Amino acid sequence: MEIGAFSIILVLALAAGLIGGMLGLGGGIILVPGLTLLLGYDVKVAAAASLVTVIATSTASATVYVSQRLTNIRLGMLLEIATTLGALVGGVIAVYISGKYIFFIFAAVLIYAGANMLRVQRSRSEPSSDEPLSRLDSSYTDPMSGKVVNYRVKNVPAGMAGSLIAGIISGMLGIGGGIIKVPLMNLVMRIPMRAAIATSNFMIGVTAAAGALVFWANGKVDPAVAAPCVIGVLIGARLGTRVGSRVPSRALKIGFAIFVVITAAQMMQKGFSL
Amino acid sequence: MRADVNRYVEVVLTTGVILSLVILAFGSVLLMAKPAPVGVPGSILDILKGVIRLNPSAIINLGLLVLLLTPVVRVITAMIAFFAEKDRKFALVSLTVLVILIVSALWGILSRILHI
Repeated sequence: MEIGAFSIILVLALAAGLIGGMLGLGGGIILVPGLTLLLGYDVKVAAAASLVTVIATSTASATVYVSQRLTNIRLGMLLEIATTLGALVGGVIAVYISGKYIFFIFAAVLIYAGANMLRVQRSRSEPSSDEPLSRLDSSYTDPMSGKVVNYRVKNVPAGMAGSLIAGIISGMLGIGGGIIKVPLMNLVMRIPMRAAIATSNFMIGVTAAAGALVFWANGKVDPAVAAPCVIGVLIGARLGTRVGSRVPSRALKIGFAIFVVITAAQMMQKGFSL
Repeated sequence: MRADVNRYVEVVLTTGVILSLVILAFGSVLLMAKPAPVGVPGSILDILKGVIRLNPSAIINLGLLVLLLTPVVRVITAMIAFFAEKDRKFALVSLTVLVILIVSALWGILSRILHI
């Protein structure tokens, strides 16, 4: 392969990781539009490479969350039954359907992500000092305040159903799907925000692996695209989470909203042209 | 006892991501040194044969494979840890996830072989 192409993808992935890290998003939602709209890659090649990249970013941050005991491993594993099943179905659908529909669905998810970013962050959880009722209930020590937070997990069936949908979208579009899982766990299952973010991130690695295995075994993961994506996004995300706190977040959110509008419109256009 | 599942999982995740990144970086540097075509591997055996010959494409594919298998190993590790804790219910939950991951890989392989 050409070193030029490798370097261009590496730069794009660095930027995707950097912006993603600053916004608290995985790189996928920026990487896939970049690969397809800017570099002209096939949307399925982009989704496959992005899924592999998502495994890397999720795994790298999961090590931190797990060591801080923020991750609810039992809950994560239970919901993974639904997310992996969804990702398998999503991956299979993506291999067969026209790229046209992948562009349309991606545009819709982008708009949702943008709206989600601008919305006032509501957090609904009921920390209590009650003894846990089931093995899913858990507790963690808040890294900021040092307080122990106990919580009970509610609405598991609804959480499983939502996780299935999040999995399908992940496998089909090549994104991690944290933008669906985090609000689902926080608002519906009443899990405190920190534990929801850590547990969602924990699930993303296995979910993306289910989708990526479908693509990989099918010979759809192009190593020439995937390798620079993984290296670039990992480095970019690390830098992004560091500078993230120093950049005014309002400007960043408005910037992302503009990116969403332009990108969604271009993806729709691309979809119609197929 | 819960701490043990956490620690084993943490070790698997850290090892997997570092190992794959090192292999990918090595393969990429090798590629820069002697540009060669990078493509989809025929099989895992092809990757291993290529790695011995220091083929950049094979090394990059090995790095991606290690990354792909990290979550699978993580699920197996959690399953064993739950089983050791006599938590049958969550060992079974982990086994279910593992089966879905295996089905995903098998589906991809079958559809590739059968060209469907």
